Amino acid sequence: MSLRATDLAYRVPGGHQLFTGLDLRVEAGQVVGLTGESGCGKSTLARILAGHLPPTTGTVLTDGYPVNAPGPRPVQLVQQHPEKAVNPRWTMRSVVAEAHDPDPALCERLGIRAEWYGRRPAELSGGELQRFCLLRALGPRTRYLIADEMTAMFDTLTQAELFAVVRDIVTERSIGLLVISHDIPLLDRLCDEIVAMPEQASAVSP
Amino acid sequence: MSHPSPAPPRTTRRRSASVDLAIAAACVGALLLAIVVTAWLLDESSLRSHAGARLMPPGPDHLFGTDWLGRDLFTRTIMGLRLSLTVGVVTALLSVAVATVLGIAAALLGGWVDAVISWLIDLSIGIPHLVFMVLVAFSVGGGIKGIVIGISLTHWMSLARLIRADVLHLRHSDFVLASRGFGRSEWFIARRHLFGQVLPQALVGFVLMFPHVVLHEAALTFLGFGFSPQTPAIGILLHEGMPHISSGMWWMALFPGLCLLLVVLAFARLGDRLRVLTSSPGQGG
Ligand SMILES: Nc1ncnc2c1ncn2[C@@H]1O[C@H](COP(=O)(O)OP(=O)(O)OP(=O)(O)O)[C@@H](O)[C@H]1O
Ligand SMILES: [Mg+2]
Repeated sequence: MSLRATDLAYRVPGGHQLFTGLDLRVEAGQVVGLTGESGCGKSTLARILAGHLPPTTGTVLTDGYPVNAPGPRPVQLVQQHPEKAVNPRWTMRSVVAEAHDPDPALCERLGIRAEWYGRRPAELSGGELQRFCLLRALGPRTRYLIADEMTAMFDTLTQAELFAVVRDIVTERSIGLLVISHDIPLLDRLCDEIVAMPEQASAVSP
Repeated sequence: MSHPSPAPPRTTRRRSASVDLAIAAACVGALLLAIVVTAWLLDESSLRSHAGARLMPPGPDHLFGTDWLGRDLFTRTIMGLRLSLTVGVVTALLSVAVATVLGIAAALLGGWVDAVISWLIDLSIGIPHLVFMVLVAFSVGGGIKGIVIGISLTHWMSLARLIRADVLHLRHSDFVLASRGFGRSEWFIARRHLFGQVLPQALVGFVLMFPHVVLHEAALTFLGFGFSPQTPAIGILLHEGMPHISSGMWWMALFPGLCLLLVVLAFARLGDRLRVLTSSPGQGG
């Protein structure tokens, strides 16, 4: 049981090669950290793993199945910019309902307040909005969670608190977690294994 | 529209924007109601000519005066407005429908469909649209058909371009990709994510298109490519009234012209207010 990327390559349309021959594996219940310099393609890799973006070559399999099979996907992505990840016209109630019917206990653990549900994304802080994105990503079918700079807009205390909750949920449900961050101490505390993005990015010319 | 000071002025500005919108909508509603009710109350017989009442200046019996056949100009103006507005609504709806369908098709289907539609848009935006419109109206034989087809075929491009760009942008947006990841169908995405964005655009497009259409309809008729001369359309009234201005019969063109202007301005204002409100996504509905 694993999320497994084999021999991935991605070339920015009309641009340069971001990475080639990339292999990555996240086991169920495992916490893997991914780091690398800014612009090396971490967010792009996250999108490919979640099936939002097709790789130029290579495959992504979740428990042996292609990641973008129809139906709710087992890989969910929490993005760096939550304000882009939700429809700006919708209330948070619709935003969550689009994904699944959340368990009230889960909302409580993530620190989501009842009065936020009637608001639109512009009426929430980045941190509050990110909690909703996390809630949305933790549906009943989720087997792997990718957190791409998820806590960039939180203060250190909230960040630690939130990751503690996520770590617990992930362990309870045996979800594989991929944490993308520049914050090495955070990764050290959280992860079973840390991977660095290959640095070939700038060396390979188009 | 950036503003140096933060939240508070913004909310008051937004509130006044919706009050503005309500006022503009009320004005348009009142105008339309007045025209429809008056047209319904009016006696059609005053459309006939009365030899004894020819070329009378405005007065208590004939509010807008009479023309050289003794027909009551107030009645003719109201009837003309009703006709112009009806044709205007149909034509504006048609061009918005064409724009919406082509804009969405271009963005969703891509490939050669997109290439053809984009080429059409670029091509027809380059041609002066009055000339193009007259040509189309003339080639389908003028009349109501000429007006409706001539105007709707020449007025869908800028809205279609807007809608195409919007849908293209939305299709690759993170929240649409996420929606697919939650197992939502393409139909759900089109209905809930794309339609919600396109509908306000189309509505604003319609309200802004309408006064434009009414003016063009009058212009086409005035130039002789629109309604037949027997029809009491605003364009016909203006056409008939113009030659009499120099001979002192100022009322024949003035009142129909003013009424047309009033209706057009009211609609243009409403469209403008609507655009202000819908152009700030996430705050509008
Ligand atoms: N659609 C696109 N068009 C053009 N360039 C793109 C596109 N998507 C990504 N890029 C480029 O690919 C590179 C990698 O972007 P990506 O967001 O994956 O980096 P990252 O490693 O997540 O960086 P950061 O740590 O700053 O978040 C960047 O140089 C970016 O400019
Ligand atoms: Mg990134």
